[in-house]
Amino acid sequence: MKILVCLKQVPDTGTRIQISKEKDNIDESGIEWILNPYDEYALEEALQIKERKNTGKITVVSVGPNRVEKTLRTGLAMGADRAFLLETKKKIRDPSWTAEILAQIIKKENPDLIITGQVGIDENHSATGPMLAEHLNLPHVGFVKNFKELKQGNWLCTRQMEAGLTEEITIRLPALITVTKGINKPRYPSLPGIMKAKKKRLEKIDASELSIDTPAITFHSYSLPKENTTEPKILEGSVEEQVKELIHLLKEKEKVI
Amino acid sequence: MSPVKVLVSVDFSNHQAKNSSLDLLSFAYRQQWEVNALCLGAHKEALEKVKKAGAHQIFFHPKKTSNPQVLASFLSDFITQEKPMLILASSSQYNIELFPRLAIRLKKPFLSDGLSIKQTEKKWSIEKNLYAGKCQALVDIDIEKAPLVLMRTHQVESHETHLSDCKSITELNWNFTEKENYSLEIKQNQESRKLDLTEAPIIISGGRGLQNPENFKLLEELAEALGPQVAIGASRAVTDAGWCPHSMQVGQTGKTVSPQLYIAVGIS
Repeated sequence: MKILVCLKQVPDTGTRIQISKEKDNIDESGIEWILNPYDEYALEEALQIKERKNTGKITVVSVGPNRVEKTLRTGLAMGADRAFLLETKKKIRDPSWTAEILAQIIKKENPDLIITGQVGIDENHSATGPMLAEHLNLPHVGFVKNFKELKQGNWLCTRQMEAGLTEEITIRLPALITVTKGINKPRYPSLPGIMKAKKKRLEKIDASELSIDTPAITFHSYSLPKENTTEPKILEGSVEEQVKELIHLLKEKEKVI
Repeated sequence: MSPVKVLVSVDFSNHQAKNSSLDLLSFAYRQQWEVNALCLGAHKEALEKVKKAGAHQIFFHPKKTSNPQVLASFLSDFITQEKPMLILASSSQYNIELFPRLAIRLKKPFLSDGLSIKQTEKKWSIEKNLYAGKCQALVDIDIEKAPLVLMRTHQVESHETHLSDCKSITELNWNFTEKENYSLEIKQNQESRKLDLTEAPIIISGGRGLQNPENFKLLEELAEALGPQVAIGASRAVTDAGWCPHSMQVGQTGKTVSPQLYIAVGIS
């Protein structure tokens, strides 16, 4: 079984974000980059499927500047077999553009299953997975939190939707799923894994050589959140008085309850 | 200049239009756009609210297929025919599955989790958070590109009743043929009364400071006292510890929420 996993490099959740002088991007100089947590679940799921079946090949793919190579090496160290970097000169934030580039490569790979994280924690688009499925004319199921093989290429996807709704969807491969937190516990790359990863194949492709339109979405006028100037209010007095005051403030002043 | 034609896709839950969608309709009406409402999975009786929220024209279909691949093909034909200059919907899970596929089919720009949208003379200007709100940025898209934009809930004012001048209500004549490679088998709705975190105007979140999972009962009691508009959330620390399901997690690696009141209990 050929499984392809899309990985994205994102700033660590704890990183402080600064804006570039031209306000046309963030200032990348102090940023610590990590593998998008949801893509870690995606790769872990692929690794577990391969281990259960005791056969298969896992390819990891990413789009981005040269620094993304490090994230792909992390994927290889976790256990992926080979990697593709679709190299761009700068960061592109248009999911349609990313999906189109990924689709060109993935079409040639012809995988049985594609797994992506449900969302990138940087831009919060949640779009690349479904877009890729549309490009490849494949069915897809999003937000999968349990993925189980039935028979004859049919797989059962369980997911939690809004307002406590649980859905079970049977999907036949080839297909694409996007996975969410809770599906598995991603492994840490082992030391032998890290050593092996250095020798695994990582192919770089210049994205500018693929015939893709320019991105339709470009961000500008980056800004940091306005500083909150309202003084926090600390209530005083007995518990009863405090509760009374709090209810009064929420009801009459803020009008939120 | 004739008003810009906008298509708002309305979400229905238990055959009722969701407030987040009604808010978008009302918002579009106030912008003096020509508001077309697309109501899938809606019975005719449920359209009254859609009318009052400001729709000038309504298209509805009583059923909704669960397969986004099938639905995208119907919608793309519909949009190609109707030619709206903007397609607007809320960033719900079902829309997040459907609209990216639709955008590729239509070859139109797509953006989700928008905070605000404005029409300038020739462009749509959309504001979006990046890095879980650590910074914001703007996106400009030419009006003719007719983008698909999903908006975060509670970013526009709550809907109000507008003088209904709904010109037409059209039932769509769609026959969904399901595909062999996708089937929705089971749908369980055990907690149907619960409001989703992304929709709730009031959220009470619990963290490690609650000391043990049993103490989440205290939050439920408070939620009960505050009424039906409340959802209970949890911090990353407690979902990682297995006290609560991951679907309750609020934050960058959980759900993006935008309540009017957020009560954090035992979260540092």
